[in-house]
Amino acid sequence: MRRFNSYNTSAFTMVELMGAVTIAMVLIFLMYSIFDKVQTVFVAGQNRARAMEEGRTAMDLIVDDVRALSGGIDGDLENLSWLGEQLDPQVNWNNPTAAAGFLIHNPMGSISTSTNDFIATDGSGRNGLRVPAGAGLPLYHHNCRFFVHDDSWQLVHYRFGPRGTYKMNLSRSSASGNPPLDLRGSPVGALWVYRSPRNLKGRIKAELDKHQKLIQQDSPNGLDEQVGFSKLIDGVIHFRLRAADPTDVIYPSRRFRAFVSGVKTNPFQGFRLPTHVVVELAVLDKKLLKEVEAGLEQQLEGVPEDQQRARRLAYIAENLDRVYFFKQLIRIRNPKEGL
Amino acid sequence: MKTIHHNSWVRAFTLPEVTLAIGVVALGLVAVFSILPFGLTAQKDNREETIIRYEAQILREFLLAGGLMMDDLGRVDRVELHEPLDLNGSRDPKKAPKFSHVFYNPYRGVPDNQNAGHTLLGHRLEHGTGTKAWYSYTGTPLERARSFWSTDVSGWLLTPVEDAAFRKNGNWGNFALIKAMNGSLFDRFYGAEPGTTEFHFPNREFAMGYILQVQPEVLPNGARVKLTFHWPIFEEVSTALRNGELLKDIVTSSRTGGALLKSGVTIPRFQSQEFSMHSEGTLVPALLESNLTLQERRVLKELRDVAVGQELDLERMQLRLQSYISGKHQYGTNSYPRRFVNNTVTYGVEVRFGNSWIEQAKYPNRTADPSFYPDQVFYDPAFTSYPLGHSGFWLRSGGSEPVQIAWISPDQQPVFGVGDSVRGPYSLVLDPNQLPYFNNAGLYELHSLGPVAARGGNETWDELLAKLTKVTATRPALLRRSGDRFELARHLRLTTHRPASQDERALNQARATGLPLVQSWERVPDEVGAPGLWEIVR
Repeated sequence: MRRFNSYNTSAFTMVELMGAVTIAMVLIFLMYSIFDKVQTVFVAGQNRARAMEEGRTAMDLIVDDVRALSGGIDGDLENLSWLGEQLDPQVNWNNPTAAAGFLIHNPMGSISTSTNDFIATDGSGRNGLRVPAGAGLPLYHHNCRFFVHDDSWQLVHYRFGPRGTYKMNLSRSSASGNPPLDLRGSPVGALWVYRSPRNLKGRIKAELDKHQKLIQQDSPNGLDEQVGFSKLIDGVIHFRLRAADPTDVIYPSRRFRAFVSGVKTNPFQGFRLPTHVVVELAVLDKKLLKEVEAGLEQQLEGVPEDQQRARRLAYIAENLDRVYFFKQLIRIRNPKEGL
Repeated sequence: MKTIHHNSWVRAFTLPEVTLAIGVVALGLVAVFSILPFGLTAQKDNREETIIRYEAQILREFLLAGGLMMDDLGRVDRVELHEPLDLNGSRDPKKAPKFSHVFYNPYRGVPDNQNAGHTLLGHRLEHGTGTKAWYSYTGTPLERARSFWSTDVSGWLLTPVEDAAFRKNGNWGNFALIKAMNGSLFDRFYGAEPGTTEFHFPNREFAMGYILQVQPEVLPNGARVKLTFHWPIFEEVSTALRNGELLKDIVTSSRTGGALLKSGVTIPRFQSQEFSMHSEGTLVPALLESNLTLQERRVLKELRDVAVGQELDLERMQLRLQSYISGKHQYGTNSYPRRFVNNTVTYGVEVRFGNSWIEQAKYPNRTADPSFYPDQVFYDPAFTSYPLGHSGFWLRSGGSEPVQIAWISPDQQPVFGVGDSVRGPYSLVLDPNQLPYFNNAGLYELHSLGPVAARGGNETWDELLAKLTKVTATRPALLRRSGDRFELARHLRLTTHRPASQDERALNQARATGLPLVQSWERVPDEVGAPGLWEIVR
């Protein structure tokens, strides 16, 4: 520190100023980098929180609907049906004894890998990751429709589909087991939901017929204006719905595997439903979704679509901490005949 | 700040002033930076609490479901029970548990160094002496333990503690170490059961896990189950478990701040969250095979696809359990009669194939058209429309005394036993000379309805149904009656961890003595001190 007087007034020297500025800059840079780090973590946390919140909200709605699932509309009618078998190679109607074809909740030890596994369970897997046994998560894109009943009846339809616009008739490329054309370039889609107007029991079957007709009329490439689906949640990579029932314990899956021929393969047929339904949903956080979709766009330019899909899957696999998985076991309120 | 102007000199900041200013700035910065971690921690806590809430929902439904098969229960690392109810008179006067049971996830395959090829599934610890009785298995019992781990977990976690004083006194209840089912895929992926021989979450420490404490209580108007989640799983927890500490003591250490006895580790304070649920259902011991007679087991197995509370389709039930006449056996459009030969030369089943009688083993259609259905093979009546011989059925031949089938070997050879009460005396009839003389050219009849000595015939369907609606010393009522309608009251739960039934003990013993007829019998574990399973029945 200097003392000044009227006869010898001098300011800071250049060296002092430069020193001070340098120190200030270092301090500012340090503070900025700390702030930036903290902000990055904070934003990441916020993204996670938002993804969890959105996933949780969507899941709560699904849980409410499934809980009100009801049987007994008609003895021959499927109270819950999986549609678009070709879109979901995991549900193999023609060979329900295959491990991957179980509609009932798999008993432990039957978790199998398949060509559509999101994460392979051995070192030779498509993503080249070594993972513990049982950690594989087969990627399911379910499409199911069911009746719910509280004070009136409704037809509810949950459907995994593309992110942008809803297309009911997702066309599939010729090779069996390949993903549908609309999802060829990316495994990420959205969950769509349709709820019919509330109706009396006697008229709900007509609602089903109407819905079925609209689905059939829907253009493969057009917007789904007629069916009236709305997007429940974006950035979904996995949606799965299965039956679970304690009667399946003694001989796992026998109840539903027993009736291999005809429509009885579906456990949701008839006047008694399974006691429980298991629902799974996996959602990407918004930042990861942006990275996977727009962020990789340039890198993947000119790359064949199936490879794009694989590359995007691999990118997601490297960022598993930003994908949120929700699983709920839902007891059906009235597994016996509906009112 | 003080600046003094004087004619001859100008005074600048003093050193204390500058120090003070820097101090104030530093304090401000410290305050700002110290808030940031709180924000981040709050975010993390919120996420974890959301996950815990979801875990509570799924576990709540799972525990109320009465034994569901759920693949995700493979994420349960271990389960602990303390002072199980069936150890009558074993309670310590100081209200400390005398026994603890620890069950490991059977998928991990913890090797038993004392028994080559065996896998340790857990142990029963006697606190007074510190001795451990190990559950160590291989083969079918191990496979069963794996298959039914999910339902076992639910049955164990619902074990209530009756003693109110013990409940008040300590950190009571049943405990489980679980990797979260919900949450990020990272946690789900790396938290999966690794299936290796290492204990306690090898390479899984980064995946979110928790200790679940389940406190079930029997109430006059139902049952109450309190679920308490304790997390995160600190490194100290893994260290403590490696040193043989119990989850119960780990939770206590975290609450009290006291050091654990064996490891000397003190567990940091867990975050905890409680959820309480009340069910109008009754908390009761689950129905195990050891509670039932051979006949009751057969009936319940045939009713396996009937839900509890569902009305029985009696016609269908009778079709499944109908009598079988060996001389009228049809396969497709052809007739292939059976006979049972019991003479000094031959003992066993023969099939009339072409124009001659051949041994069952040589019958070309024996797998598609069996004579007796092996117990090892899960019989599925939907695939066969005709009756067959099953364990639990009685074989009658001419005017001879009926004899019950205790077991059917994989090569379709029946083994007979005398006595059908689980608690009563039971012995196998292994000497062919002791078996009834199969007259009428060796043809035989099989009945699921038991013999009634007084009238020399079989019980009627009505008598069987009435019998099943009654409570016996070893089991509750299996059916409920309402007028002419019957509904299923209880389900059968399969588990490795139970006492063997009398017929199984007899077969175990016969196998141990080297009798050729039962050499393919696989020893059934006889866990006399097993804690049993519990369930909530609505």
